[in-house]
Amino acid sequence: MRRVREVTEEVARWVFEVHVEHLPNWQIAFTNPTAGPWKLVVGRNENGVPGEVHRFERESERPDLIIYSDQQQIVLIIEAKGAVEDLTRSKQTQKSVNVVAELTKILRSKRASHYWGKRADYTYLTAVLWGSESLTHPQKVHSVLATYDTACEEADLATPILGIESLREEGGDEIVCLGHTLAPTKAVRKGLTVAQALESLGLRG
Amino acid sequence: MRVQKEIELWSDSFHEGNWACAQMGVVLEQTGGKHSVRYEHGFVPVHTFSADGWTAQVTVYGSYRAWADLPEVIDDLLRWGKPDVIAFDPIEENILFVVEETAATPTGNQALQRCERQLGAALAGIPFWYLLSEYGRHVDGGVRRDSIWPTVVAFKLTTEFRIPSLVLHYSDERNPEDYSSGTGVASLFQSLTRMLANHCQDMPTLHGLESSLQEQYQDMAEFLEGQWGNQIEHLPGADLLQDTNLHHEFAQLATGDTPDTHAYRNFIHWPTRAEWLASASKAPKSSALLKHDELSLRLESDIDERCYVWSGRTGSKPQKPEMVREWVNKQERMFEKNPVSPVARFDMSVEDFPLSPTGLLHVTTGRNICYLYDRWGDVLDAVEYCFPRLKGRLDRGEDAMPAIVYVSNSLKPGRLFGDPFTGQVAAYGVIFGKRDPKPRKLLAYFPHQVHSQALTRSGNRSNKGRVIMTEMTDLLLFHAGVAVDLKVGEAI
Repeated sequence: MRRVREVTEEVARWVFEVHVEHLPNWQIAFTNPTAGPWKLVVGRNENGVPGEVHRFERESERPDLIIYSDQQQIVLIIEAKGAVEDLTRSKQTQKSVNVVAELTKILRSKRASHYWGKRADYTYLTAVLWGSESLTHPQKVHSVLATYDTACEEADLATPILGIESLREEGGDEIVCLGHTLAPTKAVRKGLTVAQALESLGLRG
Repeated sequence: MRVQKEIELWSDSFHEGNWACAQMGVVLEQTGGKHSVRYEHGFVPVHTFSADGWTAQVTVYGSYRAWADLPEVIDDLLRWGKPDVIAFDPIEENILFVVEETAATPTGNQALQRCERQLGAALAGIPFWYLLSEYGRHVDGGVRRDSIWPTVVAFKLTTEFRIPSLVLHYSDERNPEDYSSGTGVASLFQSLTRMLANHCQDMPTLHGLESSLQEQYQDMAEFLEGQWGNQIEHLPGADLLQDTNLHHEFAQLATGDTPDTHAYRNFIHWPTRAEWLASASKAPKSSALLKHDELSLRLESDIDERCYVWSGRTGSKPQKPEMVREWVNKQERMFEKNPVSPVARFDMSVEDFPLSPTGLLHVTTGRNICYLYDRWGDVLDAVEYCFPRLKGRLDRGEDAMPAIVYVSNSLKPGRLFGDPFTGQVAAYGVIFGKRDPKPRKLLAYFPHQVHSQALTRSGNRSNKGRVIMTEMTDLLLFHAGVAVDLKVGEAI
């Protein structure tokens, strides 16, 4: 087995996708690799049959990943980068938040879709995902999450945002997913805290 | 005895590699084989394929450059651009097949941008499949059909390199960009699964694929039959497109056999000017330039006497005056950094670019991209006439050879070795005979670019555009008549 040289954006996102695939209560609605037949947001109807909810225009801005949980009634829209610094470089934060805001609006309007329906009324959260070779310093995590929290509040999006770190520990080959938040006890919705949401995602902090 | 092979499936993204494996798994299970997947280190997909007497463990490595020990043969292939899937045997250190696939239908210049990957695989002797949508939805809401050029390139490369180089289409007019419509996806993965099975049983990888390949070449010919007339005035050998002998010959060529007949020799072979005029329904004529350029004027006037063109339909994409001014200034600064002998004088200003009705400036000179000459000597005569500084300095030893002149009017600096121009040079070079048995010489002319760009990065041999330009051109010609032979790397 060959060894990953660097936990790139593609690797970081893929590791988390595989992680989600193995969770019992979460589904992937959209992923944005470089090419291929994957430019649709896909939901499932009452019988579990998948179908198109939204089709991105060729040149439109897209998030990197959308996942949802019917059990937790959450939709998570995720921006991914290879390194944590890239999430706040230049105008990236605003760009990412704009994408989340636009998509939240679109998905909230899909109540009539057989494949989305009640998910239009779920809690829509923003998450950022990055790759790392050693545990990201808490101060850096705090800075990035705080920057996004502020931008999300200004865009009328729910907060706090979630941080997901795909970490390859030094010398090892396994890459694990860790969860970060600035407000673990805050309620995402009635009866569910951020910490519980992270726990349902199988993310250890 | 059961044979087990370890195969690596390298891909641009994990999704593409995993998707390819899943498709091969479907084919295998339909014929009684088995397929399963597990994840190593929590994320690396390892697919197990098994059938009578053989097992293959296929590990998917997504995102080429993310891995520490990218195999050298794959690294070499990536210099021609990143294909989507590469199947590699790490013990034998050879590539079994390469797949390029696009979710959208490329139109205009986009259609040529991936052709360099077809060429790169052919040069390395690797079977190549290009899977793309025949019908695509355009931004204007209408449906567009795929360009003929990738398919023409595939036919030419099969002839020249005697390996499989194919274009397979999916989707149909009512279901544009739909992978589940059309025959391309199923046909592709049947072939790849067969190749994998052959390899795992130590048989030649193309064993038993002749009839599948013949069907695929027939599909390509049928696509050309229905589409070439929408793009060009005349396709040499178009009368052979429905000839089953031709499809059979291409399957034979692809598998390394000697064809029973030789229809393929007259298929998409761009003839002499006299032969072209005799076969084309109407003779091409020169037309006025949008923006004056001495050599472009000469090339256009040569259409009436010394060369021919395949289409006169190239449009103009005028640019904002402020951008033109900025680009001209940048070109001048680059030009002055690399003085040449005999002296060449920078002679371009924003006033040279005519105003379009919308207030933008035309950068297009002639409306043709390629000019096909019977004699390289006629091309060099035109060059020396327009740029006297080159008189006596060009190699005239191959004047009798046929030639292609490719013109790019691009003005924006830094794009010389980038899209879409390198893809165009690769595609048009292959299509019009740069690698024919009697090859055409190729001059690439950039009236608005300066030579410095071709010299300053001469140490960077891995640049994709430079690799392509070096392989496919005999001479680059820049503003003010400064020529560069990339194989030598010096200005003339």
